[in-house]
Amino acid sequence: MKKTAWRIKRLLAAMISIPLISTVAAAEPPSTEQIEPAQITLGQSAQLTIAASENSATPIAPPVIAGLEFVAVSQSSQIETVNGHTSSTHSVVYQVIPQRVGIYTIPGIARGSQPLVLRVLPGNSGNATALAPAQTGASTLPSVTASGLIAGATRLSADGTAFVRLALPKHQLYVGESIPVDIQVGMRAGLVASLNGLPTLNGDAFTLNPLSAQPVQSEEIVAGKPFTVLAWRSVLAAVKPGALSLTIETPLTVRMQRTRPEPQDLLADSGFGDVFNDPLFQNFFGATTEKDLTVASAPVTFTVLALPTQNRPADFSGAIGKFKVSSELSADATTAGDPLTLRLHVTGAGNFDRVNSAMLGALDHWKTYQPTASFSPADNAGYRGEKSFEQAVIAEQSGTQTLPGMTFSYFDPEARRYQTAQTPALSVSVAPAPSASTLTSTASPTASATPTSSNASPPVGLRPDHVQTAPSVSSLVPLYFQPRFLVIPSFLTVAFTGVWLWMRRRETSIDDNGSSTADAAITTLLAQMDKAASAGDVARFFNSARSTVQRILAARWDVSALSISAEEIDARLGAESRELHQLFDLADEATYSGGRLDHADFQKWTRTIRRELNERAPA
Amino acid sequence: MSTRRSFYTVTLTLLIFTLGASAAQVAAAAPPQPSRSYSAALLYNLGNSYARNGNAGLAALNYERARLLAPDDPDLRANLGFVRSASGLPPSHANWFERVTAIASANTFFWLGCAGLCIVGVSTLARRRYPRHRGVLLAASGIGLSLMILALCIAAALWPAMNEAVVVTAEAPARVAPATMAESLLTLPTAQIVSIEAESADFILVRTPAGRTGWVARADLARLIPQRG
Repeated sequence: MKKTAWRIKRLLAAMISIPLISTVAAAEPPSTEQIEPAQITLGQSAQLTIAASENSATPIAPPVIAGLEFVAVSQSSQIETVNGHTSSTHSVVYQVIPQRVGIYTIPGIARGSQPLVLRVLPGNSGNATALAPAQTGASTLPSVTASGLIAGATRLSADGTAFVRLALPKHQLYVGESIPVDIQVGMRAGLVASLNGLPTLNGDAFTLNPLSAQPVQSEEIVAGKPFTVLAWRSVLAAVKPGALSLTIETPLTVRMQRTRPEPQDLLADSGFGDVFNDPLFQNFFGATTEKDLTVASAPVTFTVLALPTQNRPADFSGAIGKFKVSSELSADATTAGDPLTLRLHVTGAGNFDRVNSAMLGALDHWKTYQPTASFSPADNAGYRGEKSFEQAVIAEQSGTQTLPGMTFSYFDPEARRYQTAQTPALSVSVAPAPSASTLTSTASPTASATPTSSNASPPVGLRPDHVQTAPSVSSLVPLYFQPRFLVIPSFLTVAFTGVWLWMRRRETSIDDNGSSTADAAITTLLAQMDKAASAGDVARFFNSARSTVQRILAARWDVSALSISAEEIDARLGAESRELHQLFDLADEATYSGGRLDHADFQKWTRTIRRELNERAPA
Repeated sequence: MSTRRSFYTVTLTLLIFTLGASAAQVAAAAPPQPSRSYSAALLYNLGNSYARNGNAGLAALNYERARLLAPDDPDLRANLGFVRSASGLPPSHANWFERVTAIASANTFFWLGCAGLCIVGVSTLARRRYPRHRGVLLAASGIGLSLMILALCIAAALWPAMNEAVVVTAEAPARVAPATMAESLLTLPTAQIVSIEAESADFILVRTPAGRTGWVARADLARLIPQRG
């Protein structure tokens, strides 16, 4: 019976203990801690992840270990439901930043977790590190940068997350003098979210050239904390004399850890307090916050001097620095009229924007042109480099011609006086120019292969261009083959032909009309002759006879009747003109002296006239 | 008397009408602002520019075109010969007719021919009216007729140039057929002048001065006298 009762007790105890054990097991999930990597060098950081139950009585808090700094980076929560029981796990990620070399043991933070070991080895950063302990806002000693510039004081921002620093070669300079400057911006890794702009100059007494395109990135320990340093190279110049200071500002966004708000009593009473205190809720809305701020450098003081006015060269253009000059000519020998290129090289360090030269002005036997300049920087800031000037010169006379040396004046800030550098004179052998009609074109594809060796050589190469004075035409097609111009000769031909035909027709008509008129006149004259013979009027008879002969011969010879005279008849008829000549003489005699004829004479001359009419009348 | 007056009236009317018609034709032919204009100096300078840039084909083309307007320019002849020799072409020798007619441009000879036609017409008409001056008028007709014949000879000599082209690319293959894949018969050097025998879509059948023919890509040639001005 006792045994049975004991068995029942054990069964009841087991039935009660199982849920309890399971409840305890569900309420206390195993805590974990993990660090990666386990070995780092000084200047690097490791990541520590701690996960613990939300119901754990031990809150998650970073350990305090000398030489290690723990910075919370993120939080997360995980909810699980096992056999109807809900549990949650809270995880926190810390960034572990070592401050010195050593082997660190991180004890187990959560209950039951094992300690972790972090090995920190010496770093190999090239930058000098300042390990002196620094308080927020304190300054460290100046350091020398890799570029040889002396870094100014390092002043951390109020929250210790960033700094801006200037590295300069000197603090005393002349007005207009350019000095190289490194602008360094240090940012705590993980704490600075973003750089919102390039560093800018705060001050109106200085000018700052555009910053180099890509900053140089390095790691540096400041006040025992690692910083990522971005350095831009530029050139700084003062615009007025006096004791001046400047600062450099940079806009940043830093990440700050937000303080956890106290739960409200009302919410706590209602049971929502745990919800707002839940890390999952806080992580959802962000346990850290970002803040924009402007970090400024410590003021840097300069002593700016004015340039001396004594012994200032006339050709001083404002160049300040250390320079060297050299010159060269594009060829040692040339031909009169051919251009040469004279180059002046100014190398060194200084304000190259004020380096200028007029090179050569007007020279005898030379024709000079305006020079051009180009600058080739040797560094990112344009503080060192070479400025080259090119000038086209043309020798106008043959023989050995000399170009004088050129001078360049600048102010040496180290020697504190003006310097004038001079190039040596340059000699060039100039050959006589060919005649104008045999100028060769240097750009001709084949002219270069056929140089003119002497004046006796035949003309080679292209002849020079022409000045356009000739009239232009709208078409290259000859006028012969342009239909609109062919109309002109065609029209002329038709017109002349028409006029010729018209004239010919008109003459024919005149001839026809003239023949009939002449016949009528002759008939009339013959009738008058008969009438005068009957009346014995000698003068009238011979006048009518002469007019009849003139009409007959004019019609035959196609001439005017008035042009028919005794001499014309003799010239045309010769011996056959005897009777007609006598007729003309008798007519003249009868007209002026009268006379008498018997009937036989009248009949004889009447027969003669009629015979002539029959023989010499036109066909 | 009335006949003489009628002759003067008709001749004067004819001349006025002829000159008026000619001026109207020229005015109608020349637009106020031609879209393109050519001058011997411009073409010559353009040829020089191409020659300096190493384009002998286009240089020769512009020299040849300039020669149409100024055949008596010695610089033009010299530079054309220089470009041709640089391209490996033999120098072009002008015959006696070309040398004689090089004293003036073809357009000048055209107007001389028109003047000769006028002289012949007027003298012929006057000879009917003034038979006593037949000798002088016959001489004038002879002069006018000579001018007409000379102008016609110039036109005949110019006619082949209307169908001539210049090779403007470095090397222009002349193919057996108007196709890119056709066999190449010969390669024409740049600045070579060829006569156009026929045209296809993208090819032109050309004949070289040596008498060889082949189809050349249209892009390799440029007409000596552009068809559109």
